[in-house]
Amino acid sequence: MEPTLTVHDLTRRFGRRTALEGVSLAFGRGVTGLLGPNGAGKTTLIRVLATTLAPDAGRVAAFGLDPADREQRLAIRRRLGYLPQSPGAYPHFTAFELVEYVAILKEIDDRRARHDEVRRVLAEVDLGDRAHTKVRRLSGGMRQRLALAQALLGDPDLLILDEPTVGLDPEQRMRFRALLSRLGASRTVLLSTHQTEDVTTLCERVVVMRTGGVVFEGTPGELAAQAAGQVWLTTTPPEGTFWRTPDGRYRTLGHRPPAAVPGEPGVEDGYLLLLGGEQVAA
Amino acid sequence: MTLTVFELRRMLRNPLIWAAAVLAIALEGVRAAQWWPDLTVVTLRAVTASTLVAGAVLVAANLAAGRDRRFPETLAALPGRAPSRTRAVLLAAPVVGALAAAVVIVPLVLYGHLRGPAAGSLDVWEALNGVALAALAATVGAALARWTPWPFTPLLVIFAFLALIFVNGLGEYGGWALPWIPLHDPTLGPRPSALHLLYLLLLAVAIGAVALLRHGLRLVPAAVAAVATAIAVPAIAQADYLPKPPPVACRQLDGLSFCPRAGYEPWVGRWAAALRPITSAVPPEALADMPALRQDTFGGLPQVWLTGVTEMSVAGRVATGVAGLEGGPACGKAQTVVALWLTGLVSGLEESAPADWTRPPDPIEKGPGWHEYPLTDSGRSSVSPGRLPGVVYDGADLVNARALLADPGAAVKVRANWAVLTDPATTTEQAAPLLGIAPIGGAKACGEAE
Repeated sequence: MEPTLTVHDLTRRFGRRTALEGVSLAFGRGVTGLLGPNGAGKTTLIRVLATTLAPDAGRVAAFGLDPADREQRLAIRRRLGYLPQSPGAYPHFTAFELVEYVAILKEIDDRRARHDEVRRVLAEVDLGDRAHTKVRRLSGGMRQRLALAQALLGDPDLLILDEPTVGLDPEQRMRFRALLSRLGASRTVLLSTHQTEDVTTLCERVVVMRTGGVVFEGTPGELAAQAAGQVWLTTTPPEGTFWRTPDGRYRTLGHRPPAAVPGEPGVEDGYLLLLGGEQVAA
Repeated sequence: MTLTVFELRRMLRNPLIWAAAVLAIALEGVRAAQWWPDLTVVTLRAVTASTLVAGAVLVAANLAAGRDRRFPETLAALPGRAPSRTRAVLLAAPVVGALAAAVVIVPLVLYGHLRGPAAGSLDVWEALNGVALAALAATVGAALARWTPWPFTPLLVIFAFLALIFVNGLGEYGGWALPWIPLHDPTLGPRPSALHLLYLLLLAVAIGAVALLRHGLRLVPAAVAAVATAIAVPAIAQADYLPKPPPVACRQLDGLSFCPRAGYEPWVGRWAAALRPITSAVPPEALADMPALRQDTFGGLPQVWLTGVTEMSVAGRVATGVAGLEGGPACGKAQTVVALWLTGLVSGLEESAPADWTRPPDPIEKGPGWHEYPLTDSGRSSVSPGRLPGVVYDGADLVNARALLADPGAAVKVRANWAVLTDPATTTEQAAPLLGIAPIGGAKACGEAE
């Protein structure tokens, strides 16, 4: 199947700092997780893909369209849902007004259809009963859901979400995952996150970035497999970084400590080992 | 268009704009209730009050057009682009601003009109200046949001506008190029209100086009800005007061001659009524030598009339003239007591004698034989701190006049002895038996604080 979104040899610099260097990726239908520590270049990549930032070099194509061309960029935006890392909000708008404003800018011109659509996306994020509450009266989690609602407007073919689960309580996070897995069945969803749990439960594919480049691309299972033979459980605290498990044992990554038994590797283990000892220690 | 309607709906619900409108109506309504309705002044004051709305609209339009700054990344990924957002605010905000200004101006003018008899004339173009001013403020607000990132800029601009408008009230510096000139000197002739309206509208168009130019140098907005400016600036540079209207014939009433300005004829009856306690208390021959009361002249009738204050001022002028006082120290004179008594018939004699008799500067020459001492903001005469213009009296004179005022038969006594009482040589002590009062004398030299 033709990928929805491709980037080839993408480079983006901010002054002397290189945020992206030679990144090449392709995204098709389904949910793809984008993992990486702070400063890895995730948000820069997300912004380039969302057409809000032009690359210094390299090519981007979404739906076969080139965002460097003004008309094609608009055509991409018509099929795009985007939740930025700092979505912002207008405190004096009601939830309904804010989403309606975005709906208008998404060119949903028919009033009745627009209102129906606003109500639909508010219900999707469980804010239907808060439609006429001023944004300033919403909690942080509710504002995050509101920002997510605007990204869902118009049933976009491509959904790009930067840290969407920040501020959500466990129930809302579960609800969000259910929504996203449903959406991912028929469209391309790109999810930037720090939560490896989101990746484990949601993503068919995961991309790990570090210092502006891609260091892993594969399934969550493949990422977990990176840690095979490097996850250990001990009964006494080992040297280095470790954490205590609920059964009273100590879990550590890397070299085998004395008297340790192998543990089951997870996505997080693979991710941490991929990023190296620095990140493990962190 | 959908976005414009959305902005229109939001603007229409903006509490800042409507709070400003309510405040403007309340403040000006309360103030207007104390003044005789003069449609010329009422219109000017209504438009001046509506500048509050213009300020609120400027801020509201600025916030609406600057909304991108609080939502930048989300908006950047949407197909609706920044120029269309600016255009929507530029279309919606002036409409709402104009509407809110009309909501202020129309009831205030109607209130003045219905309180009648209203003097002056209603200049519809003048009223529309207020509507256009609010529309202009909206475009300025939007342009500021597009060209300056600082949230305090609108407040600075509003402050600058207010300074231009109110410190420079008669348009001395900048003339008709100013957005609004709140004061009107009737001796200068009618204002070029229609031309100023055209200027404001063209300025609004030009500034709106400048706001759009922030999104890139495009031919249409650049041309619109250039053409609007090219018409507006030369047009307003030539604006001046229009030729004066023909003088109106004087009218005799109650023995006095009233000479109103054009449009102020309805007030002649009210002027006469306000002065009737004096004209009915003095012998008819005393009024024969009174000069005609001309509007806006020194010693005559003011342009505006503040109920309760202006009566005293005008009564003082007439009483001074009727009693034959010529100005300067007049303590202890019978004619001073009579003049004060006459003014007391109109507005009571509750106050103390003024302590400060410093004379104001010379009257301003407004034309051949035409001088002006405009009323202060409170409606008091700036000519003299007392109630008799140019005449210095003291607390003893006031006490004696109050004693006369307390006597119901005083008018008969004054009429019967008019010639003696108004003789400059007659002292209060000499006149006391004629007036039936027990006079007291001044404690200090005439004009010194007691």
